[in-house]
Amino acid sequence: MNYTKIIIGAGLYGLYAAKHCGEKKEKILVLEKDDRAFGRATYVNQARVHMGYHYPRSLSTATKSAGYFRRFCDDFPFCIEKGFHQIYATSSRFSWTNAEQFQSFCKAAGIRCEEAPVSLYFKEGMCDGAFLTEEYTYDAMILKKYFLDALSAMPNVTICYNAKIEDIARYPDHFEVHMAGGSVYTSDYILNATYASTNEVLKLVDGVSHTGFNIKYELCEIILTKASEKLRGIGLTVMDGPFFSIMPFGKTGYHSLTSVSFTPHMASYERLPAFPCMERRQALEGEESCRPEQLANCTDCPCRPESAWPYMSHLARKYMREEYEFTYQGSLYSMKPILKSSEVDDSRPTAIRVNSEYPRLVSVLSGKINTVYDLEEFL
Amino acid sequence: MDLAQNREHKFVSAVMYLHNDAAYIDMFLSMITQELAALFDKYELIFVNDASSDDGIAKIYDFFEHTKMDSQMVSIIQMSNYQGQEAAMNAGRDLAIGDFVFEFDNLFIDYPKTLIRKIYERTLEGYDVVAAGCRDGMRFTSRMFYSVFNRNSGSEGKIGPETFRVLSRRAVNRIKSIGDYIPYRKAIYMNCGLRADVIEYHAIDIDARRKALKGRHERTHLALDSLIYFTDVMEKVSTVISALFVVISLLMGIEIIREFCMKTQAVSGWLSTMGFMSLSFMGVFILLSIIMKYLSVILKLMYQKQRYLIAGVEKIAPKQ
Repeated sequence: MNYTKIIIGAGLYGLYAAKHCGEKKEKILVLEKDDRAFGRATYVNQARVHMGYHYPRSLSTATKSAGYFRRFCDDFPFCIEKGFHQIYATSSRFSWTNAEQFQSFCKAAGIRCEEAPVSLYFKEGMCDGAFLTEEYTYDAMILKKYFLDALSAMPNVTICYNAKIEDIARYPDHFEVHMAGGSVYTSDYILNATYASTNEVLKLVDGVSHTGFNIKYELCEIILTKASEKLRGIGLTVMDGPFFSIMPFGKTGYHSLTSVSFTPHMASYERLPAFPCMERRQALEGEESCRPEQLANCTDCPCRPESAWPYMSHLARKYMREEYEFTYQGSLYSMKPILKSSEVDDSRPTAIRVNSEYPRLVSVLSGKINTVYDLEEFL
Repeated sequence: MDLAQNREHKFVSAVMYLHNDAAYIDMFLSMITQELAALFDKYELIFVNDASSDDGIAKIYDFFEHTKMDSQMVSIIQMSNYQGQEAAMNAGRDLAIGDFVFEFDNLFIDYPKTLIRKIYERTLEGYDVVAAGCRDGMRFTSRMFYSVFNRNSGSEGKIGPETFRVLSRRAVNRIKSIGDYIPYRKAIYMNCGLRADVIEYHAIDIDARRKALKGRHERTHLALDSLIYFTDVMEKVSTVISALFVVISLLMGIEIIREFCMKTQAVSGWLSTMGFMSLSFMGVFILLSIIMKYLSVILKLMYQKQRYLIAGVEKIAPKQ
């Protein structure tokens, strides 16, 4: 079957592109490896609508985030949770940025940063500055429902779940996507919006795998906690180094707990993600279950690492005042690709790469939801 | 009984100082991982590498290549340049997140490994700081230092040579609120106002201990700094010197008065010159004592800044 565009990956970037093109009456096919949309990184992250505070050492990332922040909040207000105070603090030890530097950075980026009393939130001596900021959290599941509802109203858009791609053949004027079940789809445009599987998809296409991204992979854990009454209306993020963040997780009522040093469990520096847990999974469920060339969903995995809750909770409690309590509810895991070029300045650029001019193959890699608009000029 | 049931549901951190200690690393690591795993549910290890020039760090990576571990368990702080044990260990303690923090100033083991449990159990009796001390093979200068220090610090907690210690989180918080600058940890720990104790032990092998300690840098500067910072020894010394000169000036004055009365003036003008000089010097010395006092007060108000520089923190990833 022939399509105007084939989109691989039903995360936010994939579905946004599907909706954008579907509205232009293009015939769209979305191929999703999992049995559901938004099953990986779009859902498994801190759910921050980034205003840029996170990047005090990369003004370019910060200003870009701030620019898209408003647009995202205006476009998807129904999934945005605003009813909490988002506090950013700078650790008095081990931070790469101090309170003064953070303030002047916010000023340069033109984002809100009001001084807040440190002792209200943190134990004595732990932080040298605390700031009330403007940043929200989005609810991935509400956002997913919105996209799926919109797409199901479009007869020209098809989403195919449990779609395992075997091979993508490249012809002079089109691609042929061969599926595990034997189906074949053709199109002269493929959007590769698979985040951690970007290189995996490119490897399936003849002659483009060398255009893949230079990334390292981190297997990350997001902990969901139940916050005490006092903590409920507050989000705390301690910067800028091996610290933590505890903030509302969309509209779920949970707080997500993450930390720079404990959220990533393992790292892989290979072209494709290679982890020791893959062997354990294969021993359990067969060779096809999970391998570097066919990364499975980490949250669903029986071989996912043991939770880092003891570490993360201790780190958070070392900083937070006693009255802000939280209890463990569960863990979500996902694979996070990080561009190797952005390790020093901790920037998170949205990388969009045209791997093939014609037939057209475009890959997108972005760690933030609100830069999804960058995609439009490539569609 | 199953060992696992015996474990405490506590999370502890162990901070290790590393400066060209490659020779002791293997032994230490197998000891500490065994002991902590037997005692606690979860623990973390933080190595502070103070500009080692040997292959100690490689040995640590090597060890964990062959050991089952949590992915978050081991951190290595790389100090930017050599900054000494005190600054390095302050950095390590600041990174630690445990309910209890073990501090190992040395990696050589000259104590029975049950001492780790003993030290920890002492904290359960209500002590926030418990140290393992050993007086064997102590140098004469060290003995002098501790004796002068303890006699003049004017505080309850007496310090001595310590191999390792454990601090409760409460003690760590208290220390943090005392001040930013901790030039000499022991002195602060023992006098943070919480209950502190030292368990003395005898070295299993005194010669080995001497040998291991011999490689350590002489810490004369730290000793002098500590005496100035924590004791009033220097103040006393300067007061004594000033007083001595005051007395000499006074004696001179008496001598002048005597000569004046006896009218045995040797040279004309001698009396008035000497009278003026002894009076002025007396004033100068009294003034000096006052200035010394001011200086010591100012000294205590200073040093608010970060006192160490780190190059980065590494995590070791599990291979198994």
